[in-house]
Amino acid sequence: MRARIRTGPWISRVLRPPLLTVLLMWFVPLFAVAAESPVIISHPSVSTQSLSRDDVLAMFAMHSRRWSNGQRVKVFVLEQNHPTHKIFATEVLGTYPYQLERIWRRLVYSGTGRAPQVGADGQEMLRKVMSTPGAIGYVGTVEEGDLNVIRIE
Amino acid sequence: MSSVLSKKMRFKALSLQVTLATLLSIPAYAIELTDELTVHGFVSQAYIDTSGNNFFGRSDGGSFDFREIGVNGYWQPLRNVNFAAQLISRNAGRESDSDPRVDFALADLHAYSDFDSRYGVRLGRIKIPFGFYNTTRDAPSARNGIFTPASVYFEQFRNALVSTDGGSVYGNLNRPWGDLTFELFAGSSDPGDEEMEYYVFKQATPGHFEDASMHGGQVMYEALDSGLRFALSYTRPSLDYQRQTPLNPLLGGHVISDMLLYSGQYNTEFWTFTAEYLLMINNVKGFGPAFEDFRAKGESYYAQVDYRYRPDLTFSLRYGEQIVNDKDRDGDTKFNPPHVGFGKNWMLGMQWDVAPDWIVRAEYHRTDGTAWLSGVDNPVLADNRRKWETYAVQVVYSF
Repeated sequence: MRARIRTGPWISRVLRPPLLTVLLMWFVPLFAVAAESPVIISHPSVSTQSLSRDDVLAMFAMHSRRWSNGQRVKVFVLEQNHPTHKIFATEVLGTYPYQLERIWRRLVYSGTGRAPQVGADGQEMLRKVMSTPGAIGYVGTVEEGDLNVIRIE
Repeated sequence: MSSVLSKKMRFKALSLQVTLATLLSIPAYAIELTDELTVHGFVSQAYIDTSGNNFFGRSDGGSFDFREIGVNGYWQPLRNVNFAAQLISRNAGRESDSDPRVDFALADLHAYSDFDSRYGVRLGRIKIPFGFYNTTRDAPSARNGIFTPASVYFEQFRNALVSTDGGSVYGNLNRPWGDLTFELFAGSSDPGDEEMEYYVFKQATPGHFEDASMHGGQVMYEALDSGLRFALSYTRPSLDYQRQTPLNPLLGGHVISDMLLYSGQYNTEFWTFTAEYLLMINNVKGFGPAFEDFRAKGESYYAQVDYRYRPDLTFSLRYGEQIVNDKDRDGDTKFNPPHVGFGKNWMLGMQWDVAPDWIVRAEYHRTDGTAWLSGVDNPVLADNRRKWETYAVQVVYSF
């Protein structure tokens, strides 16, 4: 079925030089493994291939609700206490889980918006993002398959 | 017989277990009925013990009166339209007697929306954007303590201020330097049965205040990466008084207030610093010889520091002050008793996020002054204590 590609200790040693990592990721974007930093994924219908960090932050804060082609954004996150969610909030978005939680609660209880949909784990996240047009989410490791990976510029 | 009884007891124990297990396995997040329809809700129960005055119920001597139950839905059936509604039952003293009320019920028309801008119109019963917490002051998991800071979010005006029937125009811009939101609103709100009379006249009267006409707006700036958040809010409630009977010594006057609120917040991984400052100008006119016209400027603020000792454990310290009339900051000349003219409050609090859906809070308050006490729950001013303490514990479940 789906082959999960993991970096062993030897390969991470080889990949350590940033230039080489960048080169390898350039050639095999879908197979690239980012063990430290979660990867942003989207539904195959989404044509956007790269976003700035500010853009991603605006989407996960539920401020940006449309893709650049006009399609509705559907945001998916992992549970608040999931380790990948913490890493995603701090390292990818540059904020904290409690800040995102505060923003989402404010939207939900004031009638001005909705909170992201929640996946219990990486598998559920993948399944939901794959089956929802316009979806954006993230996973700890990318698996082989026909999903889009969005690069952060 | 005894075996039947024990069977019954076993069944009871089993059903309790099942109930607990069900309650604990309820999804921590929204119920996603479909991709387009989500339902959220909350239940809170507090125990409040105050020395001397009643706060959020008959709390003098301890009470379980303060309880909140809410449920809301968000439905987006069309690309450019969504509907949202929330029902709340709030038990917190005589003006909030747990009768369910519609907190908001609105249609949101997205007039324009692209990747970095949104503009639209909300129609129906909408929340009034005022400071950081007015829109969510009745949602226990979305405010900064068991009670929103009483100096700025005082209870006497809450009925008119929580939501209004009308509409608003809003815009939202996402830029590399941050996120900017503005909203302008107009509507009419029910000020409640008697609270407004206590607020203005310090007693219940034969007449009553008609629905308040509300106007205002808010501009909010938020930069999540730097942790900064600022808001400027303005609200202008205008209320007309009906005499009801010619025997009423008060004539049909009106009250207009200009409320300007500055809000600022700075967030880091472990710390959150929040401060809000409210300037309020009250114009009271036309009540005849029994109640002289006056214009008064009131000042309120609070500052709060939150320290996240662990991701699930936060300690808070807050100081807040309300001066009802800045020409009489000690209440000596214009207020009787003087302590109605001010309120000064220290709060020490703790919040434990037991699980994503459960919160437990504990707070200790030391207050000097009675400016923000509900008149309906403390009708005899002379009986109120100038210096009082509050111990409060609250359990919140929200999904």
